[in-house]
Amino acid sequence: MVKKHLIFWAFFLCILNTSAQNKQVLYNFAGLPQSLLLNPALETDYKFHIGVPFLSGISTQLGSTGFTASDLFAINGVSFNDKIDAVISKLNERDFLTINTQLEILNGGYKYHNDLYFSFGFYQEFDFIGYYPNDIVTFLKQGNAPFLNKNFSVSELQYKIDVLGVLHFGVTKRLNDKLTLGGRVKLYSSAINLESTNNTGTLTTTEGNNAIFTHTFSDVDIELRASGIINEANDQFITDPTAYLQNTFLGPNMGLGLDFGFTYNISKQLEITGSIIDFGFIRHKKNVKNSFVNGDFTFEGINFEFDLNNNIDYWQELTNEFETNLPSGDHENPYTSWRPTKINSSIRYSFGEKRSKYCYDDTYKDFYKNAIGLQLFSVFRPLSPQLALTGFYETSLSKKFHAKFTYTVDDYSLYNLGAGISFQIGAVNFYGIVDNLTEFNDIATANAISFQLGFNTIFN
Amino acid sequence: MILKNKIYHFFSLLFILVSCSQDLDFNQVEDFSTSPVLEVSIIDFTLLPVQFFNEMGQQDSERIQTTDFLIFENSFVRNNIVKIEFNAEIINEIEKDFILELAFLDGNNTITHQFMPIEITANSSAINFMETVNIQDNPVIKNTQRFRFIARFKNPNPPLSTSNPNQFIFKSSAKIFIEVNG
Repeated sequence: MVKKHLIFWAFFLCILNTSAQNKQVLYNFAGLPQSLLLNPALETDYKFHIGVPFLSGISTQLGSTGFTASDLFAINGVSFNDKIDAVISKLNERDFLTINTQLEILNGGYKYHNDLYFSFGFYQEFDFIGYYPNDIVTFLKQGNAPFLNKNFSVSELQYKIDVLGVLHFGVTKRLNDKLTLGGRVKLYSSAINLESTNNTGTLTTTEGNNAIFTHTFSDVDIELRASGIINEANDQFITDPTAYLQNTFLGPNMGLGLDFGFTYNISKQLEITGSIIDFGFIRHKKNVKNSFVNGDFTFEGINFEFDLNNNIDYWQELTNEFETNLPSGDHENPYTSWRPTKINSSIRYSFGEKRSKYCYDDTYKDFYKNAIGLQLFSVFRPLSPQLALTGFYETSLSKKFHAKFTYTVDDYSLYNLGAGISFQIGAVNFYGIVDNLTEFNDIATANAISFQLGFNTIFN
Repeated sequence: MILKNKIYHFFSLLFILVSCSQDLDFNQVEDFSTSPVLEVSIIDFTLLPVQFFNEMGQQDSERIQTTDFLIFENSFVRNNIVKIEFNAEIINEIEKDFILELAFLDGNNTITHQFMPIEITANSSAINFMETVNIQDNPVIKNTQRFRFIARFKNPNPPLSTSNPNQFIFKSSAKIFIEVNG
């Protein structure tokens, strides 16, 4: 059973690859330090915190629209190829796979005076999104023979893989009782970037006039960008894992990002928040290898000329025509990749038993036992933004034990239930969050799953 | 104690919920196969009677064209091709019977596959020819590097006229059957 689970997770981590990135349970939950990474303006009431190195923030989110692991790998007597065909028949070019994993190496924060909270840290992130290239899969699966006159489009080829480290420093400034603002500067260091977006081009096979078929490559413009995986010094793949690890910390391909956020208390019980996360870019200039092909070309095979005076090398002519009209190759030009910017917002109404919480500055802060609210999340992805709407209920079972339950509607599911807890024993805080609870009784049938957990030490 | 129980129950619930997955068999990937069929134009030409006359103005009875044909040098094609279906459409407006001889050759011009001779009667239109080559039956075909085409008329008499506008039109295509197994 353990092995089975390992294989399952390996499958998800290595093959499926998704990009949910919505941490709806963690957002604005129990004043957790990790919530500050989702909104740097969230209110905290502790003096300082230090995350347990490597254990303060572990999160993985996986998602696929259109199919699940069970659709392909269930043991049900259906042949694997029939399963593939069934899955393909359900998918279209808007379906995608994503994975996002973050591992916090370091996380800390300190309150300065009463209205400033500085937080900082370093985490590593793996992020992937790949859209389903419907036409390309159809072509590879069936060829062009059954599809005369069909435009096989390459514009559906869209993917992005990032492995990077993020060094960050944030400031949360409480302006008054109502308004708190926050900002965070992020220094990105990319270890790997593979991406291809905004491709164009079609291949069409039609009945020809001079030949049986005419094959038309139209408006082709494809670029596959890669940085960090091929050593520009020897043009060989980098196979040393430590080289990748080292490049996540102040490596040669750096970028800059900003987070912004606010919290506004309309009343003691009603609060609105909002944030923009990862508004930034990475400039790739070292170990870059980009491949391209572009142009237009109409091909009708080889035309024999029967010219007695000219011994024509037809194959070479054809090759030359291809290379002239559809030039392809590699280059090492630097390029810029944009981070997937996220937007969070929420409205929260607190109610129920009123409690007082002892704060670091020998004061007591009122809070309510329960809260309900709505959250809206959006992440900008190559094809279009992904949206998620969450309703939540948060309750404090004690001063040190909080729980939050969410119901989310997103691209993956219309009935995503999530839950999280945070409790503190002494200075040690633990939080654990799981998502899509209704599918956890058989995660093989889930379109999306996620978890976050971590340990912090929090000092009042 | 109550708090402790709450925590215990919460984690118990999470554990129970998280730890379940139906049996899956990832080895099914090894059963994956796909069989695309690619259709592509190969050779076409239009021959006029005048093209059967050499530089001396004498009528020859055949014309030969040879071209490199290097699709089998592509490792994907070489490793996964299972069948070729060769199709030709021929219109012969010339008042002579023709015979067409098509062959794949290797780098030493040794025949790797000889197609069935195509006999074309005079003044015939829309003749279709099709020949299927199973690669497994003739693996040497993968050594093909050239394609040779011979158009020959059977009887030189009566001689052709250089001003005869009638055409011999040849078009061909191939269905290439690929099979990829996981």
